[in-house]
Amino acid sequence: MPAELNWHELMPFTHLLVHNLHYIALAFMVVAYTIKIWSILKKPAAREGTPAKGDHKKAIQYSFLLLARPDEMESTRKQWYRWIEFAVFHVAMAVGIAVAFTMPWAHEAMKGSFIVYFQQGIFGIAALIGISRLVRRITRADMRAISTPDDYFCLILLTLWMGSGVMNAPQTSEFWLLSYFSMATFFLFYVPFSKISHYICWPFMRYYMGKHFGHRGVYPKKRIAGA
Amino acid sequence: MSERNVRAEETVPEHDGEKAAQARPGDTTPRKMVPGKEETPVVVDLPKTEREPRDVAGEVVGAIGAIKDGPRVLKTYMETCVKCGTCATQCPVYFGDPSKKYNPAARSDLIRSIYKKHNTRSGKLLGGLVGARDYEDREVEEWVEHFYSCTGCRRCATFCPMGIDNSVITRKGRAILDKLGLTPDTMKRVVEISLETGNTDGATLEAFKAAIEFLEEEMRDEHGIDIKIPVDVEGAEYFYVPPSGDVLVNPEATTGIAKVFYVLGLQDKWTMSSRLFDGANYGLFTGDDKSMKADNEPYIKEAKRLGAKVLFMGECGHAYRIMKMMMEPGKWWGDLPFEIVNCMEFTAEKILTGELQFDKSKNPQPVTYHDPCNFGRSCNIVEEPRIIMEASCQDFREMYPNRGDNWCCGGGGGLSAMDDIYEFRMTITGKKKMEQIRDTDAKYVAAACSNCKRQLTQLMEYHKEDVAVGGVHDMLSRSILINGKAAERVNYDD
Ligand code: SF4
Ligand code: SF4
Repeated sequence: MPAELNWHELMPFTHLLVHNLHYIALAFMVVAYTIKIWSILKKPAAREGTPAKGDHKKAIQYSFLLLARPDEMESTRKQWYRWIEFAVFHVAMAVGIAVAFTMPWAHEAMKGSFIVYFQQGIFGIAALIGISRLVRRITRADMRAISTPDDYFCLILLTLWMGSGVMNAPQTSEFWLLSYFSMATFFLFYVPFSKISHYICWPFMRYYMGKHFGHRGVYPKKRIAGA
Repeated sequence: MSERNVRAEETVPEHDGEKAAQARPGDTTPRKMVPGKEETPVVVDLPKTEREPRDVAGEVVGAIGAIKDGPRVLKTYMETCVKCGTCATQCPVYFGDPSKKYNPAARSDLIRSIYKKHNTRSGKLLGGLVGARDYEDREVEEWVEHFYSCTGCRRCATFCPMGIDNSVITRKGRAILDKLGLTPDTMKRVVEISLETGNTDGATLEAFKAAIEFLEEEMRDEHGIDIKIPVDVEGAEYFYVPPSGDVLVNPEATTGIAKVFYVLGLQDKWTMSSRLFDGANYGLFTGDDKSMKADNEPYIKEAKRLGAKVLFMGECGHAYRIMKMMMEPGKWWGDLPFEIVNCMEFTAEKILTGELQFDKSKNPQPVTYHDPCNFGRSCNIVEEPRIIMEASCQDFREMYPNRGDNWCCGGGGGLSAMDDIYEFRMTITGKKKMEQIRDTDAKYVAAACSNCKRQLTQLMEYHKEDVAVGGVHDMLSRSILINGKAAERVNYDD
């Protein structure tokens, strides 16, 4: 029977990290994101004055939902596994953040075996996906050609974070708790400066794309037999 | 930045044409290529000035920095690319040659990385770690090759999970090059000729009139009756503006239009202008908004002078796009006393109402349609050409994918006019399109664009494919019934 982590006897730094630091990091991230969103919003939005060739409201919905419709895109239609990778990886990140902010006060409730297995399952798969994405980025010339150090750095760290999530889920070791929370805290500070912040721009860009291509009748894409 | 500017920055399109020592829209003969010799890469020297040396770095960084205060969408393109590589898998150029220089995201990074360095907190703080970098001395000279190897087809944009339109960044790159005097000579020359003469072919009034007379004679031979192509008729309802190639080089599209008006009893209700018969506008390709507008304005004045009710655009994607999607909604010249209609919309509607009849047996060969990117992804004129083709041809077959997902012919963004990159167009940018066409087994490819027609014709010649290339109204011209009879001519090769 593995030893249980005693949340009342954490090292001072671990305690500071789990109960204070990563909330400070969260606050920093929120401020940074608020500034980013404000800086985007203060720019003029391109209006579509062109004659309506399609229903741009439907197209905006379509543009957002494309994310969940691998069958709609030629690229993902042919590469289903890529879409599954994408979906699982992103869901795991959301679960990872949720765990980081619930575990400090709900650790007892999170010791239930279902919750532990769920975390280990999703974090484990995400870590494997992270490794496969990393291998792809390193071995494929086309991916290397467009990758910045940040792309590798984020991928490595996220993969390690997911790995530490697997180990931390059963709450048996302070080392894994420390690893998991220090990486989570680091991310919160680093994310506003890295590519990971893409999800802040994503809604603006998809909205514009939907409106633009919708107005011109290109979105929603028409499914043509034989395509 | 005004709404007008927002739109002008919006995208990169395509087209062709050229004059004098250069290529013409429908003229498929490459002028500058030396057989057996390797092409010289498009690398040019910065223009020398006798005055103080230019602060090129300052100009480039300044122009890129201006994006920060520009439209929201371009700013977000600068800050967010997740480097997923999807765009490369959907790009016709990268399909033809998967080198870094043809990778859409890598090309956009030329600008994005400098933007990040000077305009984002992460770039200033973390520099190279987040892909930010400073402008390197003389690198702009290499940008010419990079930005003139994107056809501006926008295919990548419709697939990018973020929604980044790399063609917009390409146009920005070309605009910077243009300001520095680095636009390739071929392209610059076309813009100049068009501004000087009113058409990208630099054709004279005499040449135009001779062409019109020739076409009227042809139609007399085909149908035994006089079908007119009215010129400079004030008070005519429809002012027809084709690409000049559809008058001078591949004129069957224009005879098709003339026949449509004849059958509808609108023979006296339309006109061309002897001064302005070319909607092609290369300012769109060079990123030079000023020239684009200068080229556009005379057409608006001419339409007003003629008192037209409809500016009737021909088979030219970028010309229609400028008029309908940029000039009109952007109110470049205020409110217009006429509407803008594309000839394919008009004809398709008349077919659907049963006003036009055809003898399909005149077009028995397998025929396919190539969607010009400007019509397919920027104007949604995709069903209309199909209505015309299916009505006028016996064996119409699709190539896949098509419509908004089509692959560019490889000559978009003005590349088709650049004979100094002929090999590149034949073996790289046009590779995917060649495959698509072969898969259809068609013997005729229609494209509603002079630019595409030039590129496709050259592709067929280069790859020794026995496939004819033409327009949409060309097929109509051969099979439309006039007084119950279609054209008598059978050999369209000469
Ligand atoms: S598809 Fe979009 S996000 Fe992905 S690399 Fe290309 S431009 Fe960047
Ligand atoms: S616009 Fe077309 S040619 Fe240019 S990068 Fe995108 S897909 Fe490639």
